[in-house]
Order: sequence, then C-alpha cells, then structure tokens
Amino acid sequence: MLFKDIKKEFKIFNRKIFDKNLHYLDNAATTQIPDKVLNAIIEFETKHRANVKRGNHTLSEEATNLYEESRKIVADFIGASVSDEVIFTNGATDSLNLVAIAWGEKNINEGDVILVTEVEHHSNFVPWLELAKRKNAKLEIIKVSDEGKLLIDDLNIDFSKLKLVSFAHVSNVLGVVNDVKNIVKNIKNKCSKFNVTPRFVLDGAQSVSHFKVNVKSLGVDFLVFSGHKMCGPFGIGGLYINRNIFNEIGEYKYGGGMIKEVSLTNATYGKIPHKLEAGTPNISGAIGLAEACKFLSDIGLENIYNHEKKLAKYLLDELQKLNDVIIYGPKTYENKIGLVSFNVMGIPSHDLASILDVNGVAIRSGQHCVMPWHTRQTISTTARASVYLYNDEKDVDALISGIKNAKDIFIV
Amino acid sequence: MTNNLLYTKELMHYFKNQPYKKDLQNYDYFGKASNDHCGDNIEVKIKVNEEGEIVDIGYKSDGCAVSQSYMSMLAEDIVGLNISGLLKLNDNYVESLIDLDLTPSRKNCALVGLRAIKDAVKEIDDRFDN
Repeated sequence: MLFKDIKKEFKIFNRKIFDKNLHYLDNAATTQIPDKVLNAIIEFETKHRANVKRGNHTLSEEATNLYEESRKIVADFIGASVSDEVIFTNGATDSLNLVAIAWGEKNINEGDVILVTEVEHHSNFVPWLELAKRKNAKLEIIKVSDEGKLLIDDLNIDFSKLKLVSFAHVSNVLGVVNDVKNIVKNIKNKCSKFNVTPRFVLDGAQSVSHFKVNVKSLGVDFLVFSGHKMCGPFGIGGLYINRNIFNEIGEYKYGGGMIKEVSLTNATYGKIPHKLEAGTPNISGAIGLAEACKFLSDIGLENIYNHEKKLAKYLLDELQKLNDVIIYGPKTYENKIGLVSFNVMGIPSHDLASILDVNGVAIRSGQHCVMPWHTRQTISTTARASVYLYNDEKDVDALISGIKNAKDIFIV
Repeated sequence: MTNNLLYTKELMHYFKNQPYKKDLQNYDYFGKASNDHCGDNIEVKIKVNEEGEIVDIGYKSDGCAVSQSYMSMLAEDIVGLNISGLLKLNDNYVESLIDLDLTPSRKNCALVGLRAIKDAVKEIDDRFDN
C-alpha cells in the first residue's frame, strides 16, 4: 500500500477549506472514515437491515451473523482469545464507565485503592474519581515527568489495598507510548508480597489504530477503544474483558437483550458479552468498526506505525526549527505516536488554530480533556497536531507555513 | 467572516496594547467569567471613588486574542463611568466597540469580559444606586 495514494480512499479529502486543500491534523480527536467502511455500512443498511437475535426471518439471521462476525473480527484485531471477550459499546468513554459500574460496584470496597495517572483523559479519570467517592475508596495518582514518563518506581501507596490500576496506552496530550507490559509487571510485583492481584484497565483509544496491540501479551484485564479514532464510525467502540475474570463482572445497563428470565418481582441475567449489551445495539456501527479493523490490517499496523513515526520526526524537526515554539513532552519521536502538543509564544492557541483553519489546516486547541495536567503545568491551553496514515509531509509543511502566517499577524 | 479577516490591524492593536491588563491591589469590585469553548478566563477588579465613579480597572487574562482585545476596549470605555452604569451594558454594546463581523463562537470570546464585569457588579453597593 502506497501511503501517498491513501488519501484517495477517503472522499473527504476532495473537500476544500477556504479554497485550500484539507490538511487534517486533528486525528487524536477523530480520524477520517474511508469509503470502504462507509460502503460496508450502506451495504448492511440497504441489504441486511434488521434487528439482531429477535426474529426468525432471513434479514434478522443475516444481521445477527454480520454483527457476531464483526465481534470476531474486532476480537482478532486486538488479540483476544475468544470473541466473547469483546463487548460492543458506544466508545471508550462508555467502556470505561461500564467497567466502573459493572466491575467497580461489585469489587471496590471502603479503604480499597484505585490507581490512575495525572495525565489521563477525563474519561479515564472521572469515572474512577466518582467510584472512589461512592465507595469511600482512595484514589491515588501516578505522577508524570515533563517528558511524559509515568513515575512508578517510587510510588508511595498502600499496595496491600490496591484493587484497580487504569492508565492510557498512549497519552492524548503528550503522545507518549507507555511501556504497558513492564508497568503491569512492576506493579504486580509490588503487590505480590501482599498476595494481592489488582486488575488493570488500559485506555487504548490512542493506541489500537496506530500500532499492533495484543491484549494477552500486554497482560491487562480490560482494554477500551473507540471506533471513530480508528477510521470507524462514531457511536461504536469496544471493551475487551479477559474471560478469566468474567465472574467478577456485574451488570451495567438493564433491559432487553441482556436478561435470562424476568418475572414481576425478579430478573436474572444472561452471559457476557450480551449481558453487557442491553437494548438494540449499534449494528451498523459494529459492522463499520469491523470493516475499519480489516482496512487497517490490510495496510498493516506496522506499516502505519512506521509511516507515522517518519512523519512524527519530520513534524518535530520542523517545529523545533521555528523560534518561539514550546513543545510539551518528549522532543524526539522514538516513544511517541505522531502527536505533538505545543504553544507558540505570544499567540493564544485558539487564535493559532483559527488562523491555521484559514490555511486549510485542522488542529485542536484547548485542554484536550486533560485539565489536571494543564493546571499542573500552569498552562491555560495548548495547540495539538496529530498525524495519521493519510497525512504526508505536505500536511506538516502547511502547518509550519500557517504558524509562520500567525506569527506575522501577531508580530512574534 | 473568514478568520484571517478577524485578525485585523485594529483588533491586533488592542491585543498588543492593553493598559488595563494589570493587577490592582486596592479594589472595590471583583468578578470573573470563562468561556469553556476556548479556555478564556478573565478576572476583573474595579476601583471606584466616593461618588461611585470608576477610577481604575485591572484584569487578568490569558485567553484568546478576541477575548483579550474586547476586554481591553471595554476597560478603556468604562473608566470614568458610574459603577451603576455597568448594569446597563449589554452584548450589542460590546459587539459595537469595533467593526468586526463575529461568528457565533467568537462572539462568546468577545463577551467574556462583559460577563466578568457583570459578575463584579451583580450585588451592587446601595450607595451608588441611581
């Protein structure tokens, strides 16, 4: 697959922004959706649309098969043992809330410790904050170095009470790739002398689409991800749960599709995954997500990561050539995806983003749902550029040229 | 309005020259407001004399250029007014301070300063009521 031709697979790149080519560098917020994935959704909606599991007619059988095949494709994509280990949700945020409720309510008690980091996306922070409040548990925070490294060696917490650890595989504000295997091993070692085995939640929202992720080799119990961040549609995502801990999982939402029996006074519930998928699922979303997995696998995750790393190096090099640009986190590309948060001195990041917009360049400005980190750094907001498989050096050149334009306007 | 036309020489002049962007040690009124859309935060302090006339203003802001420029224009315009006069200020007044056609999201940026001022005078001192 030639990366230089990949934009042709995405109709949106025919679009002009202020008469300029679209230089889309906001992939950490959402990725673009290829025509192949849209076609798979349209194919379902126009040829096989019906509700799953609830009918004995052809369309319903087809819809059910397509939905469950999609589950298998997604399970294979992340290295799950069986497809039952994948629950369809409406995204990573929904998946994290599901764990907080279905696992957290049943397993966290007063005095237990939940461990997160200070650089988590709010979706992987607030559910644990609220769970700890509800249960009178203790929320402990792993600090992060300025280079984005999780500082776990000198963690001063009560490991005898540690029940849950949750952190991002890749930071959405610093782009750093965390060494998950070793972090899990390190913390498990510290807990082992107390005969305690905490559960590990991995936020894969910024990782599963950028490089190959295998849940078994990482040693995590839960993995969450969002379809729209991996060339899939909005409103769909996944939650991987290791089948060895199925017995620890309670319920999340109640309703049709997740029950075993219902009387006027009682209800019993089905098995995972269906127990955790109440209501009519996002069937076309699941099919779209599976097609996105196929799309990425056909290109090859390793090829995608290599392409991205080359571009990340180019992006960092070019940004560092400019005066007055502050880059947050690592200044080299080795342990990063192609995501850089930065500021240009003298230019508020929102204004920078607005001026870049007129140059056809889409970046994000704000706090990227990581308010505690911005507060710690005493920064109001940052600009964030994030590349993906369809970006090229011309997109980075447009970003640099747009920054220079902004500097002229602000006379920096 | 395209964003390039937004960053006019006039707007940039007010962004670069903000005489009231300063700390005020002695003040009588304090207010703050923020625009969650783009992280604009403004804190404003107002000093009045015995007659209730505004004699000095100091504000703190690290928000976008639009929010800061409009706050700067607003501050210059209201020094000398009676504090109770601030209750009558409205969005139209702020938008008319400079000839720019703002998009709805940038209007929010432009109005953060006014909201901070309104917050400062929400429980206005009885002495200065007209």
